[in-house]
Amino acid sequence: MQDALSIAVQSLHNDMQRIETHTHNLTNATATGYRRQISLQSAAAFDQVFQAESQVQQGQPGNRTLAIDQSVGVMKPTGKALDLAIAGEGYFAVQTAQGVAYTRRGDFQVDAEGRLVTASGEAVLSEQGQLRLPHGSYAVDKHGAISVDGRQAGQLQLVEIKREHALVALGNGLYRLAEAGINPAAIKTEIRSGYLEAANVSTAQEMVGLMETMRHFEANQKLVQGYDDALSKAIQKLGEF
Amino acid sequence: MIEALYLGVSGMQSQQAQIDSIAHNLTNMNTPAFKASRVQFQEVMNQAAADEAAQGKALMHPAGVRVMSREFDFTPGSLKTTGSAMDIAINGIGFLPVSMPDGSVGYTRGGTLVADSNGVLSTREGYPLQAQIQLPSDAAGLQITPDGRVSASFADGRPAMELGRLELMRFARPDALGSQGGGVYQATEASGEAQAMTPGTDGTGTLAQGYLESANVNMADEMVRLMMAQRAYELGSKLVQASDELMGMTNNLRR
Repeated sequence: MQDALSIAVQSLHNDMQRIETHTHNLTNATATGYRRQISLQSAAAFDQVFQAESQVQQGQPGNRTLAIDQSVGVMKPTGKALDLAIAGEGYFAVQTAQGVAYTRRGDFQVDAEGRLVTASGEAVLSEQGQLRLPHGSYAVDKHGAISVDGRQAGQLQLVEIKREHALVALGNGLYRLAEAGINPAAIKTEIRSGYLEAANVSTAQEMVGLMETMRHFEANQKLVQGYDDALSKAIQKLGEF
Repeated sequence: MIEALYLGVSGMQSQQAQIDSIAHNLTNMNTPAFKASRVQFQEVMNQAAADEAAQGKALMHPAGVRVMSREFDFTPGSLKTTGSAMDIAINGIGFLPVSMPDGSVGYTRGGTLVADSNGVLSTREGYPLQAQIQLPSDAAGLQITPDGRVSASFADGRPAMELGRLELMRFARPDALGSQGGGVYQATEASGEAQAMTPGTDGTGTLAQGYLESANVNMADEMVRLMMAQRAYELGSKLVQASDELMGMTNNLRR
């Protein structure tokens, strides 16, 4: 009988994590290039409840698994030549302190040293490595080739991340592959210069998800209360003998 | 659950910064040479958890949103003619350097110039132009050519006297300049060092005497942004409410 409580508590924990995910998605609904996170619930957490000898370990945040929604967001026009959106599949490759990361956030800039960088300062990788661009008027064609004043300056590295490869979010729309040692293949995709991809969050969908989860949380609360009542009654009845 | 509360708050704080920036842009719609600023948002993931993830365990820890930076939009505003010889605008890219009271250099997009008590050309706020151009006391007129040559003319028919030459400065990333207020900007690490240019060369703008640059604020754009920010703020407050309800329910687990 003790397990009914444990299951309800585990379920409350899962709901909280779901709510955190919905909240994170909703607060980032205005962040450029953000990709929706999906909270995955597995039966494994419940199996642990039954199998674990000690129940101290339950409901640890370690049970959280998140997936990244790779669907394409809406494009919004900005008119800046170095604001790039990918029309369709694919990611830009950037160099971070922890290694190569991938992003769909294309609000690139030329920094004080002339390097092409992301808005947070990570170097954008071209097919020849980091790019240095001279002053001038920039243009990017639909294949990702950058030209300065009409002269070719480099070709952006565009990679395909297959659906079976999980992504880990590093913040600011940067993602890393969950497994090490995979080199994503190059992809031919269309680049739109002067556009940015908005977050692929549907606020209505997230709000409904939030409501649903809150009701589920409430149901679990009632379950705990009901079980508590049952226990209390059982103790009273037994005390009458 | 407490975490969801702070995630909601992070959304409200970021949108607050956005609304502040929009309000600033809208109130300065009629300020000459004013440049709109934009707030950039950034998704935050808890880095400690991400580091753990780097050791093979794919853990992610969402931490909401924050304001990454406030950047200036230096797209040129339209030039409007004023007819006053002391009004100067930059037609294109570039900044006029001015000497700040603390000895540093400030950069401005132009405006109405005044001659101080010694005849030195300064901005309205009293910062002298770095070119140190001194108007003779008997000068009747001031001419500034598009390429920056400044000369004075005289009422008594003497030939015009060349006083000096204005240079324009440009930056690798002008959007990252720091603002001093009053239309004066300062170089930052991100913007890079100023490079002096002759006006009209290498893509730099030219000087336009008798013109003032209008603010580059687009009313429709700002209003749409304001609506978005307001709704997003409201959303943040709903999220805070939701996690408050959850906390209430948790407290009521025991009746």
